[in-house]
Amino acid sequence: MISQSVAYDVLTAALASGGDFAEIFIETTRRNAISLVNGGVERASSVITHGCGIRVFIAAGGAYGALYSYTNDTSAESLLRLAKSMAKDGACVKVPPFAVKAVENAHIAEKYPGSVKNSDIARMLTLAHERASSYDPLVTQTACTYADVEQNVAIINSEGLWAEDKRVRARVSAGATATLAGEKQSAVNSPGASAGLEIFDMYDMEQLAEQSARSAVTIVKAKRCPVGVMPVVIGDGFGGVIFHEACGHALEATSVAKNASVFAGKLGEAIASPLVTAVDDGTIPGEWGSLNIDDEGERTRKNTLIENGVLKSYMVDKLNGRVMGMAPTGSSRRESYRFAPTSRMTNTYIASGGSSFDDIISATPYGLYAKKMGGGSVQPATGDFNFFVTEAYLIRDGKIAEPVRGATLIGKGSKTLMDIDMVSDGMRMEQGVCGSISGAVPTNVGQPVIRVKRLTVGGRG
Amino acid sequence: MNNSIKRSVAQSAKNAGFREWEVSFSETGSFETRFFNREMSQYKNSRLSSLTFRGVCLGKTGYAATELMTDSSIDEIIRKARANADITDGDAETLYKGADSYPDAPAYDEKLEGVSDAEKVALCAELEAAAYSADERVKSVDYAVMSTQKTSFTIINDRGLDISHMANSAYAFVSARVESGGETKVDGDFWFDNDIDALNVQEIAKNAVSRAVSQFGAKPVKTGEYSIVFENMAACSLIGAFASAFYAENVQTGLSLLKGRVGERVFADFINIRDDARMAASPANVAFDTSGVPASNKSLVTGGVLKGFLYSLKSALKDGFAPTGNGFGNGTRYTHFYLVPGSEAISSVVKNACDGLLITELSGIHAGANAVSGDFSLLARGFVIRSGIICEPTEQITVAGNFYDMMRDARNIGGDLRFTPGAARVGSPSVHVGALKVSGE
Repeated sequence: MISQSVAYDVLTAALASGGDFAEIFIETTRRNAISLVNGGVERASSVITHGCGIRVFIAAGGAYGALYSYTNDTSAESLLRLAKSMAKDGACVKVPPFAVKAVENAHIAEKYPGSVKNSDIARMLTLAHERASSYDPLVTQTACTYADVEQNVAIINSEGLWAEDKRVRARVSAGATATLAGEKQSAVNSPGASAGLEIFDMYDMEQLAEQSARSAVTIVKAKRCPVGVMPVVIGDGFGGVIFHEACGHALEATSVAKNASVFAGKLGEAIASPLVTAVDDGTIPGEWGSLNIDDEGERTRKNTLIENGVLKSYMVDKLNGRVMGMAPTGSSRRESYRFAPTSRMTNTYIASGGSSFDDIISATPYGLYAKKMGGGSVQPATGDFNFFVTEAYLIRDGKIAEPVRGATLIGKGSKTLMDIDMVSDGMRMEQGVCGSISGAVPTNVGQPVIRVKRLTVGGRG
Repeated sequence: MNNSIKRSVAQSAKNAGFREWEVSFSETGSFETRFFNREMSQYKNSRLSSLTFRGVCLGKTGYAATELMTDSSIDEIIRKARANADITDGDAETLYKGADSYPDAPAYDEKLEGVSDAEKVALCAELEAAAYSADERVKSVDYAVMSTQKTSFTIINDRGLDISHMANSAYAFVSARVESGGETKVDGDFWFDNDIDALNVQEIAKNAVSRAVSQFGAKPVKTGEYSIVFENMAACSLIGAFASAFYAENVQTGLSLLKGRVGERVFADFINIRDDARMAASPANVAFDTSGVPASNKSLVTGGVLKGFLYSLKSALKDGFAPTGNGFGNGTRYTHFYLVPGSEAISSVVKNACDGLLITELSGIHAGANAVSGDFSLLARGFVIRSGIICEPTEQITVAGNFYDMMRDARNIGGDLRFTPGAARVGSPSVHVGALKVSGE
């Protein structure tokens, strides 16, 4: 994508800003997407994104700042012009010869994007539509999608790093909307992987569609959720969004370095119930949030964030790591060349515990079983979080009772982590897209079934 | 767009068998700086261009886009657009041949281009300093941001359309973290415009800090029903979440509860909702949508009665209506979608609400608001209203209801219209919506 001599010249020019570190991130990304609405192909689109971001670190008054410029004119003249526009007078750090980093691909796509005809993909989506729409007369709409992305990146820096990586991901979704007496409720299942078109072999689209239809029909018939403070059993898989929002974001160096996290300065301290061990692991083969190398060229790794309730590690990128005096953890990510990278999550989960799902339900006289979670958000400085429950049931007398809808869970991350009083076996992960200051990146969230002894449940009930 | 790109597109479109084709070409230059700890922590600039292709072949439409402007990549995406068109079942789209005239939509201020990067950096530093000095309880200014953007957009098709639009804007944002007695509170404020003379960094900083400080001592209220006043920006986030119910494409696919209700009284009689493509001095003003259809100012709800929907060229063709100039990118979007203000000051709205809650911020909109059913259940914070007076702050509560019921039962509206920033803006004054369910202690 760029020659060594051009890269050398660009980094050297960028360092004339007085910076002590410069980096080039160059990418070409191809995306294809097909969406089927109510059984017809509504739209199929293909997009190429291509561009380069140049980043320079400048030390100033004890703090580190970063200059970032990006363009999609990646000609040698354009990049040199961009690098020079960042430069001011200053001593120039010398760029050593590049050492090409061997990057072994642990996430190999077997069926490459483009290897299956659009019409065959559309046929698989159509089967999903047919299964969902025939599931129940209450199902009034369906939406089924396929999307793939192939991102080719080169990361080159003034420390002599030259690393290239290819990232192929695919995601499918099967969604259904049920209508009853003017009320509409939707449910969707949308698995993804670091894989190609074998995604269709990994997941049964018709089964996903039926699950979505069943959820939508259950929810549309459900009564409103009672509100107040109660024990909440949070389902496995996407239930891990509670940890992602309530704790994961606050363990990113992005907020820790600014002291803007409730967990800043707490390494070695108990921040969660002793039942909680939490991990961010970017290496798991074929997973949606996995990477061979992060967007600074650092190998991803398995980072244990919390072990038996004790805070062990943050997720650290190069720039914030300098401020914190900590080494990078392979956690630096960006949506594209349009964003400077920063510490982000990859595949984040709470590890399996010793209880069974049945133990947890039978130990709960009254509470909410939040089986499927929607999205949510958090304010890292205060730890205030909120997230929406898409499928929930009341627990009465230690048994799962009627379905309820419209519940929101709110709380403070630091308190909620301490209030986890049961953790089941059988950790499972699901896929999401996490938005933060370096853009939207694919991440896995995961957990076994857990119980929080007190949470505020909001809703209209 | 230069002529060699045009020729390349025309040739590839012909080779791929497209009968009709259209390309839009956009160029964006942006600048952003951030301060942290009284030092510049980020300095970012960019130059971007992208080309979007739309081709019609045998009544089917294919799409593709590229940021790589080589002949081979243009040819690649046009071949993909053809493969995409082949499987599309959607209704036939036509390309727009252009209007006789386009409205004047001022969105560009030459003066802004005269502001140097160094001056923008100085303004950002001033913004951060103003936040630090606004109150001694300011522990940190986590974000002080100053950014500018300039965009130009051209659409060309083989039916003779060739039109361009240019816009620029500036955005300032500051977020202050305040601490007192072991409590931490965060709040921020923003400014968005292209008239740089209207930027008052002191005012933004003062608002951000006073909003944060006012939350000290906040506690959840008891679970129950409360009469709710949404402050203007909280009302914007709710209204924005349900704007898609006014998109004709959602009405057509059965994803809007407003289907079949044009001419019916759907909301309280003082509720008027508009989508205006042109307002006095807004960087989001547009003369046409991305299909080249003139963008219009239109009433969607007048006196509580539903008047119509927002149409792209495609959805208008399906219903046999005239497009409203709301076809942007892949679908429909609003331009300035807003609740028309009344004349009362917010103090008067609060006074008339008597007892209840003033909600100043809602979080979790993307997950907790169901755009189809209208149901919402959202993390909120604000103040208790007692005997018409704003009293102690409250937090860690949820406010839940249904958008359609809420707008039907609304009680009162303020005159303090404010818009969100960005290319598609939502506006609202403060609204007294009546009783909603609150979950707290």
